[in-house]
Amino acid sequence: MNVLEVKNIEKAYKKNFPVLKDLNISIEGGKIVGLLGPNGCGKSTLIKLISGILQADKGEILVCGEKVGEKTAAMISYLPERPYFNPHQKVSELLKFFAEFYADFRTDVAEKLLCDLGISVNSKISSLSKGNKEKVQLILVMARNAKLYLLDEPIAGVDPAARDYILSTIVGNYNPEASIIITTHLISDVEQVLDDFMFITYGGKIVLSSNAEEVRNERGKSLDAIFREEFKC
Amino acid sequence: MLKKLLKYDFKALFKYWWIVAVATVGLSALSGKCITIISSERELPAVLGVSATIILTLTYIGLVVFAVFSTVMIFIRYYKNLFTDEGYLTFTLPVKRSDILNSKLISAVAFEFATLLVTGFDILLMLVIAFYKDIFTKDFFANLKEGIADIWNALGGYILVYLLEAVLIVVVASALAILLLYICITIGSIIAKKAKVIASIGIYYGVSWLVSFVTMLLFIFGTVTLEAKFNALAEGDIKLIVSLIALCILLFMLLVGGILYIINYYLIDRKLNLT
Repeated sequence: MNVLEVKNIEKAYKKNFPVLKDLNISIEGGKIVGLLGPNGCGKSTLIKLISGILQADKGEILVCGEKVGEKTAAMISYLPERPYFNPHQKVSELLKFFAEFYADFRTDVAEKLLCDLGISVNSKISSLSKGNKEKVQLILVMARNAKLYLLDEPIAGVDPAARDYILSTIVGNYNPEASIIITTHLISDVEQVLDDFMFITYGGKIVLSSNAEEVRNERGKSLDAIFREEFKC
Repeated sequence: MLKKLLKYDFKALFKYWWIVAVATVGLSALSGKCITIISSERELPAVLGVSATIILTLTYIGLVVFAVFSTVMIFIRYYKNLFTDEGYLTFTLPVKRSDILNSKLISAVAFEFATLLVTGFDILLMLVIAFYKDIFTKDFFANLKEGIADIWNALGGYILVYLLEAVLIVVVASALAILLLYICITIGSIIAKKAKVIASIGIYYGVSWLVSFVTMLLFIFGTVTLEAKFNALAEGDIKLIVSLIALCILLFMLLVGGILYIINYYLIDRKLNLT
């Protein structure tokens, strides 16, 4: 069974201006998939639809065979673009919160990753730097034993060293049977970790979808170079 | 999962509420003493008189601030939890959308009710401290017993019905006021791209006016159409008529509250648009 099935999805924020139109995607387990496209092409909208934050106007989304809802929320680990913390909370309170709501949350893994970064669980979120807030959020997301990880622009706005840390945390901590969807326009940074990729363009159309290694060998170019060709202005 | 959500909502609301609640109790106790000082026939030093007046004024302001503070806390919690970046966490928790709304509603009603109880206690405490000599005379319990007996003789079993109806009306009215506030925040947050709070306040005035207008129309219509039916049903029994009117008010509020709840749920479930 595929981890994710997106069938004929349509979503418009304004009437007659669809962000996504008749979109179909299937993702099997154990894959890291890059959802790559320019800004405003509907990547985040798709992620929000899969996570259940938004509702599609048409079509159906299934996660491990279940329609998006309470059950799929328990299987999906979602990293939004911006930190969603209450700044007055302590890191330890967040760990407790995640452990309470998500049965698959591994507190020991989260504590180890925080310790590696030198972030104390007694730190208040408001006392952390922007970079560390993002790292704490990533740790909380990756410490779950989820079936599907949705990472929306995980490396946008962070320095190259932090990007390496983020990517290594993603690769080193996800459930091997699960799938990861990473949305980004910073392709050169993520392509090394991708199994498959999809180029998505305005209106939510998939212009190219394949195995990353195969396409690189076939065309003799990096995904970044192919992306630049495909989306040339 | 509702229990877990309630735990976090109660914890967040209680965090600062209890400090203000304790402060108002302290101020009320102090004010009770001040009333005793002011109302004494002794000649008072000017400083003492002025201080007592200031404390009494502060207590009055404190009680008003306490009521406003509770409502503002509820408003902030709902808005921040659902419609700011925190919404990305709230709406991806493995819980039903209805549980999110129920948790916010139950905790808010509980805190409004608790605020009302504490305010009532504050006033009672102030009066008891100020006038304990007049209240607790040797005949106090005899007078109290006599008073209760008089009420019982006049109303009979209706006293229990009235009490129940009064408590239910307070709780449902509180829930209705909160739902009205919630739906305005929801609409304001969904339609406004910027200045969502200001949009919510504007919508609140609009929706409040609309609800008041519809309520007034229905009240006039109900008075005209139901008066004769009530009279026939109660056969002139004024106690029964009062109880029936209270029941109608309760049912009307439940109906309006139900409509507001369904609209709010629909908006949160289908029209949510976190930026």
